[in-house]
Amino acid sequence: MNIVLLLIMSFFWTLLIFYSVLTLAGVYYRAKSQKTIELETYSSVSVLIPAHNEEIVIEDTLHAMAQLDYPGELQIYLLDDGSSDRTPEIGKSFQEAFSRIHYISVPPGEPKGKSRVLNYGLSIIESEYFLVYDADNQPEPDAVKLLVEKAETTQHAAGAVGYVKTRNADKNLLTQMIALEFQVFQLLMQSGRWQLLKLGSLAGTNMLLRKDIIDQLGRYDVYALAEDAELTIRLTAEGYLLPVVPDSKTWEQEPETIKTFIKQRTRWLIGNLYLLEKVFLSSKFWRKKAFHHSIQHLTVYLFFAVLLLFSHLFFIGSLFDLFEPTYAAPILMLWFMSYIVYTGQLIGAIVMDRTVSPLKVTVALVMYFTYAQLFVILLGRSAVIYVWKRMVKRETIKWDKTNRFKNRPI
Amino acid sequence: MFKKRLYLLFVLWGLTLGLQALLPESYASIHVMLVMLSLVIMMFFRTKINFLIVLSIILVYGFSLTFYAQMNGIFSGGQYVLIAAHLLLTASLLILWLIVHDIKSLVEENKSLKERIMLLEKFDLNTKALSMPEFMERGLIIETAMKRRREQGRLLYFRVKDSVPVEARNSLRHYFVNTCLHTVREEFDLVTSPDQNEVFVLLQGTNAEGESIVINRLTEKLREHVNYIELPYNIASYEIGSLKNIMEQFDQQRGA
Repeated sequence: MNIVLLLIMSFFWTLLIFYSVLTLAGVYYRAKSQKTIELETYSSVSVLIPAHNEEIVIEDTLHAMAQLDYPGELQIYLLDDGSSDRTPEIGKSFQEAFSRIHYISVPPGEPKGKSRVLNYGLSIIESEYFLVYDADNQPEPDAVKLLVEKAETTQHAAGAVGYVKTRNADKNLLTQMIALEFQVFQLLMQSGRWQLLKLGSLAGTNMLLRKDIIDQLGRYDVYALAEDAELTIRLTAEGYLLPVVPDSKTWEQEPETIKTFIKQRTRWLIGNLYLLEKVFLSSKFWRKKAFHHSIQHLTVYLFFAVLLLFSHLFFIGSLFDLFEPTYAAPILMLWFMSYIVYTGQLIGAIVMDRTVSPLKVTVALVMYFTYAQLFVILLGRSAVIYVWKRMVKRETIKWDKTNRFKNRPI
Repeated sequence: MFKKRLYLLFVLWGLTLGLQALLPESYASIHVMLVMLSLVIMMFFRTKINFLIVLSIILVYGFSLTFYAQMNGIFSGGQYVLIAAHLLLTASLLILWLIVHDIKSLVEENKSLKERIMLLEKFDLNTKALSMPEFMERGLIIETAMKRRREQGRLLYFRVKDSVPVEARNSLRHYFVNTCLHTVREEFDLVTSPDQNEVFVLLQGTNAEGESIVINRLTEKLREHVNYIELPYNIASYEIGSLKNIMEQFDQQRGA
């Protein structure tokens, strides 16, 4: 029993200290001035935008794409995956007006989803790099240029990853919290990992990749719902780097209702569970620096989740006098430090983004007790769906598109 | 608003420091030392780096307290004292960071406003000559106009001689600039003096002959109140082809 307790304590201590160090490294990376190096020549880039019934947002997206300022050859492909709304009409209008915007109708096929559409996009382009944007994204004009500069000046880089900001953060409490989560996990932690371990992760959008490298790796896994995380591990296993560029920004919508949020996050978590399965089954996923990604996957989606489940069971059990707890560790202090580390990350991200306000700080202070707890529920829900559909019924889990909202200014 | 916020922060900071007295003496002394040390360190760094320092202290202190609890078997109610101690130190440090941030922002704002005023100022308040940015701006317009009219222009550069005592240079500069302003054509030629050793005069629509007339007139006028028989300035003159290039050369010489 003592050994088990010691292991659990060590696990929590390691996690807390690791995330504290990562936070400090992230704050340091963001606080130090980022050097931009102008290149003599700029490689050709294709922007790929997978879209399925995106009439609500696609006009704003293509407007932003038309404003991209890139010194080299830049082509923008709207990859329409069988939309039945006005997406084709809007796409064709932009194609007519702008020489570098192309509307592409993707032939129907299975399994449905972003990976298959991106693979089709990869089969029709000839540029050195490609850059993926989700259909609701509005990148800033210099976003592509900054990513290419970083990718070209970092040895062994397979591309570069930018920053995803929330366009509708002020809409309600949920979007405020999602925006904060993105500030921390999309950027601060990414920056920390890059600063400490030279590790980066693809964010699914605003990410630049070398086409020849992805071709060599066999392109996207069409069954992966978290295709970005899956590709990250494969790239890292081959020894490639993914530098982080905080100044390359894109703005995207986040779910404004709990229902949409649950749908989106369930898809992400199912994608991560699929990846967890791959981590167990493939030795490739433990090669080189991919080891770090795989360990992180295991700790977050397996060890942490299981320990959390036990902790909840003990808590409920002790409420009903089913257990008589005897403490052999400063549990309260460990819990308090978890809160401090989590909240420190959130406030750190706000400070680095220069968006400190009393409202944001208050949101950060309560997020541990509200938003963070949703993760446990959603992970449980996703695990049930995953086991039922993939393992019992042997079905292919379908891509579930995120709902969009009209007119959300940056 | 800003003043009120700063006062409020000071009050809150005082309050958190005062509350430290409720903690056991050893905690209170460690906290006061840490806060004072942070205050000194924060003077030298930017806001973001200061936040990194504050966050590091908060985390290291928290882990130290947890480790202390582990080692000393504090597994029950004693932990509340540790949590209260940590919260008080965190509050003191964060409020201090905000105060330092606000004061530094004020200093930065003041600095940038001064720079902006310098840029917007058309005249040097002391000498009444044009400010350097204004001289350049007007000079470039005149240059373009002269090129269109196919006219010549001259730039005169006066540098005070080393023999002039340092103590008298500033007064001499005022007098010399004033003399220049009265000698050249008003609203037509330009005069600036970037520092106490140098004066630039831009003469538009003027050739070498016109230039020596101006220099002679200047020397004569200066003699009225100055004891030097010869002009106490070394003179260099340039035909204006590219004012920007000429002025950049001077900047480089100054830099060297």
